[in-house]
Amino acid sequence: MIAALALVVGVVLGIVFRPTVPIWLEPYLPIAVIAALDAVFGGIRARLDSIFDAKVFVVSFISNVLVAALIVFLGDKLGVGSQLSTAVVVVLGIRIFGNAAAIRRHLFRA
Amino acid sequence: MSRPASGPRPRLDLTAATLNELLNNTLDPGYRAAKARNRPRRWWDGPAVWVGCLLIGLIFVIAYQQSHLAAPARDAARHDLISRIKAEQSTASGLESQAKKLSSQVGQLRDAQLPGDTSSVKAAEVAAGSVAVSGPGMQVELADPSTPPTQGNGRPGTTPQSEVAVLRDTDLRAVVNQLWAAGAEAIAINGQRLTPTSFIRVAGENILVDFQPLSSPYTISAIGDSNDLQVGFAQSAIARRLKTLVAVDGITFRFGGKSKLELPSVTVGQPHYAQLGPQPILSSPAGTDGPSGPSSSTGTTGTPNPTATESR
Repeated sequence: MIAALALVVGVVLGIVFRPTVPIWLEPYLPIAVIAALDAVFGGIRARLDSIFDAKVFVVSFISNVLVAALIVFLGDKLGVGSQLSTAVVVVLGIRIFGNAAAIRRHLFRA
Repeated sequence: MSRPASGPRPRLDLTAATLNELLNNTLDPGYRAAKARNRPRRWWDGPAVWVGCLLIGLIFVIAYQQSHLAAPARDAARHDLISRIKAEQSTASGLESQAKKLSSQVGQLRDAQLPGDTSSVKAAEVAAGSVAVSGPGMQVELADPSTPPTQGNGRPGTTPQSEVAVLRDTDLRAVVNQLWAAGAEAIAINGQRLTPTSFIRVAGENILVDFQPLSSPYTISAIGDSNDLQVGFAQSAIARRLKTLVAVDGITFRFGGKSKLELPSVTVGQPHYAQLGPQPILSSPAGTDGPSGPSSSTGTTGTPNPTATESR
């Protein structure tokens, strides 16, 4: 509940203050969104499995974002940025789907 | 590497295990490990989750704003630029037509003032392109191949420019020079009248004629003796080259006589003359003979009976 409230507060803060992102950070935003979605679904599923841990949640979120950004950065430098972005999106997307399915089973028993 | 050689099985297992892990074990294993350690709750657990969720929300909104809210701003800027370009173009064309009207007025007033025969002035005006002319002549139509030849497995949009734009400025220039040589008195490309100071050159991927960019189909109209023009052009080297290009690259190339052509005028700028500086830098004069004059106007001098008639 508190977490959902914090999420909403973050959204509102973003809408109110409209932080400007430096131009060199822009390519990493989509990847950061995917990593954040992965963290959110993982956290919700862990909560439903009643094995949620705050430290794991925060550390996995931050490290996922950083590693995803690093992979994309390296890919850009090597000239395979789009392929590595695809790899990150595929892996995180599979996790998101799996976690969403687990959440669905928890909530609807189906 | 130090593993006992047991065929490809371990590799297969590894791949299958990795895929299984990826597909079935989607939850971060850290959660289960933390549960197994049974770590006691700390005071910062709540705030940490709070800050993490705040960050996630912020990331969502920032990404949304960057990708969606920035697009209309770019669109608006583009539309603003387009509308400004169109406004400037219409201003320029208005000024152009005003200049043409004023120059025709000047010509009429001058004709009224000048005593005697003004035919030499008229001929000079036709040669300079400052009056609209009409008369018989010929037309050359040139066009780049419409469908670029695709090279099998090439990705769309990767066709080299040299295959899409076969015709270069040199081709147009050669056609125009050939028409002048064949006795043309006035020439226009896509309605852009050529003057003795005109140029046909390439800038980037565009062919420019007097700074006006032209695009593929090119129509070159020339006024002069229709028969002479056609015979002279058909026997020229450039016509043979263009016929080869038709067969090789698939360009469009047609030419034929026209009983009546109308060519517009252009506003001729003030001519610049070379002036002697106060202190000559070179010890010997660079050129002793006078200005050679535009070579393109030679075609007008040889015709005893000009076919181009002024149409004011």
